[in-house]
Amino acid sequence: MIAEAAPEAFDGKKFIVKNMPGGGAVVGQTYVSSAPADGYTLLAMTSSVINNSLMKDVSYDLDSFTPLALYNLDPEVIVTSAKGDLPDLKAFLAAASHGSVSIATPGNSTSHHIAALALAQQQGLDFRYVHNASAAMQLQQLMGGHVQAGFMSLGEAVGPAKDGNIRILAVMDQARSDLAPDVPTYQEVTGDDVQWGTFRGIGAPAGLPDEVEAELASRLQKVLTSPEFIERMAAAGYKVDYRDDAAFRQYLDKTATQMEQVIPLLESQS
Amino acid sequence: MDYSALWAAGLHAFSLWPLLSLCAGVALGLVVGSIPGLNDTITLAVLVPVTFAMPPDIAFPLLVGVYCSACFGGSFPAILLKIPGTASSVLTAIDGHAMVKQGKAGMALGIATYSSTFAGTLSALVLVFFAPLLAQYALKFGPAEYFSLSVLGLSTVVGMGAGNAMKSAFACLLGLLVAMIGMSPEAGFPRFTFGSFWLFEGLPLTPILIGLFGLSVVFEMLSTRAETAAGDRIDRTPIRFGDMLLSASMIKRLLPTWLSASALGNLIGILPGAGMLVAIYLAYERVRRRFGERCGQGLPEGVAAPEAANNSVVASSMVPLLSLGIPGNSTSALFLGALLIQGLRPGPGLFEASPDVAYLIVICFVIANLMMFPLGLLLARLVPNLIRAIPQPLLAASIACLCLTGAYAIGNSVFGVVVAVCFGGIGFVFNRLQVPLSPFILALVLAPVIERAFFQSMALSSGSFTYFVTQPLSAGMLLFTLLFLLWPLGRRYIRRRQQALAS
Repeated sequence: MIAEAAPEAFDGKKFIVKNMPGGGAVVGQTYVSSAPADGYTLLAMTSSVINNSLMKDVSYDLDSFTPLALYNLDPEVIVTSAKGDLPDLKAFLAAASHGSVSIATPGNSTSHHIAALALAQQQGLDFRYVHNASAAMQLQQLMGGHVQAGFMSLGEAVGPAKDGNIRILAVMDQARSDLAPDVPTYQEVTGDDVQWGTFRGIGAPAGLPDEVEAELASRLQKVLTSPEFIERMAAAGYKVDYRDDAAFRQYLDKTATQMEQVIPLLESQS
Repeated sequence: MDYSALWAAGLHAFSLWPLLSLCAGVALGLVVGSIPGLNDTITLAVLVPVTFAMPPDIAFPLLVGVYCSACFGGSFPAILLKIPGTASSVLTAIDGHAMVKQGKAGMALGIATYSSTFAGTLSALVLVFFAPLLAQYALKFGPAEYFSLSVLGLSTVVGMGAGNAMKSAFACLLGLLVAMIGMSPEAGFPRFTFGSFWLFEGLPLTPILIGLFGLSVVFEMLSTRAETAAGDRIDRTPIRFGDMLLSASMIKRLLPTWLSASALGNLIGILPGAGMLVAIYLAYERVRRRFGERCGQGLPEGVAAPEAANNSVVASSMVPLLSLGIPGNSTSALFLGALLIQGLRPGPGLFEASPDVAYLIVICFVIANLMMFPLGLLLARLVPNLIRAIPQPLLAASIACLCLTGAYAIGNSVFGVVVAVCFGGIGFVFNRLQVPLSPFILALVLAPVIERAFFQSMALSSGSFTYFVTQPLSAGMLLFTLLFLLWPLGRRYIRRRQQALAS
């Protein structure tokens, strides 16, 4: 979709999209990290860049890339069954700090499992993890009231919440989302700034000349904030949330630091 | 229930384009289902992107048609060649192929067609009228219930394989062992992967099926040609329509089997993951307990039960998707994608927000099942005669070709082909030693479900085993498991008592 909207801001030049599946995106990320830093090879970056570079035996790390622009953030939410005994975030936190709360995840080591581990570590909570094979099975357990709570992306939670099958307790973002304006942020309820989510952005290999980086970043901004692009993304169910290169880098570093704290937990539990 | 919307959607379904695309879908589904190595999931994965540009009243009839009939199409090669086209027709192959050997190919295909149509239509009607009710029942199934259901399913292997319990148990255990390969679902610990990246996600199921059933038959053909040029010739009299139409007395005889199998399919098939195969195996197990030794030697009920069960599962697996928005298997996950792209969000609100499309979909399920009857009979008239016209060497080569292409296509990698060839060899050895393959498949599918449900239950109950018994549904199913296991022993005991009394 970016490629479709790109020619206008790039003097009619086209983006060539090369899909490189395999190894949980490792193949494509390795290719871009070792490509020449001339601004002609870009990477569609997702959260997996951080996970892969920290947890898998790969040839690159976060510093191998120059972040250029972030265009979509799907914040993490905490949900419970609509019939459940935890009506709001306060009750959830109280229950998890005095006893243990059962948490459904879509699978071991998924970003949602990691989010729950991170929160438990920061806030001293006690979670019992119920791992599933897919997000669908996780949702079914929540709706059936077999588990007390779960972690998922806001995008996944909005639909079932509207149907009244699950309840969203809090969104881990800096502000409320237009998709669920009634749901408070984690910070509003507790005062602690807890942000977590998955992202989509654009990056280039590290070592880009400064003027190339500035040029690419400003042109990408034009593409990613254009009404046509926003409209196309909305049709596919995504909300465009543009952040420039500096903000993207800051976000990446913060997320990587959070991840680094969690990884020992993930490794010790297996 | 909004009857006027239902009526309007019904009328709409009978207009030209929806009906044509539904018909095309059913025909396509029958063809891909009957080709070993191709299945409904692959077909839908190819079709869903194509339907993006179509209006919903053409897109959905097409998809529904394929989804409904692929499962029935799988019974053709199962009966004629003993190669199940889809995993759901593994059991159909046993009695179906035995009937072919007795020269009753036409009747076997007829029974499959009648059973599929009857049970499919029945469960489509259930989908139309009781979907929300059944969806609420499906939600009651938590980890403990899944565990007990899968154990119940596994207990059916005791009687499988013509009474040789040891061989069945051996195949079952081997299946469980193969299922261990890959990351453990709870801890993420790699098991038996030997550091190989390919084995991390476990062995892929479809190439295993292709190997066990498809390639093993090819190997069999190769070896029989070498030994005895014309060992067991199946009679080559062409099949006529008359052979396939069942007599009234036969329909009357099969009716109880159909009803019980579709009841099982409707109730158990709703449950995502384990539902489909467990329903089919339980339906077959019922027949086996009733007929004992005769089952597996060309018993009409042995074809009717699995075919009725698998077709009722097709519609009921849509229940969680349409009423709750939860896809029950990989095929309905693709269906979910198609709905979302058309701007429809499945869930309780679907029938209120867009009744025209929602009711059109469920009505298409009914019509697709009815359409399967004439189209199925037509295909049954053509395909077997075609297969018989092909010389054996060419047939073996083309099956091998289809199998290997299918194994490659599933993951777009040679790894699938390697798995298929390995399991082709294993299947050949199993057949030679007369070890039944069906317990192996069941164990392979259920092992991850059992393991995951067990650890989930342990997490929920803080490690207490009584959890499985304190949940009423779960306790009931475990009780049935115990009965299934003890049944053969009990029967032997009773028989001995009777003999002792008689003498």
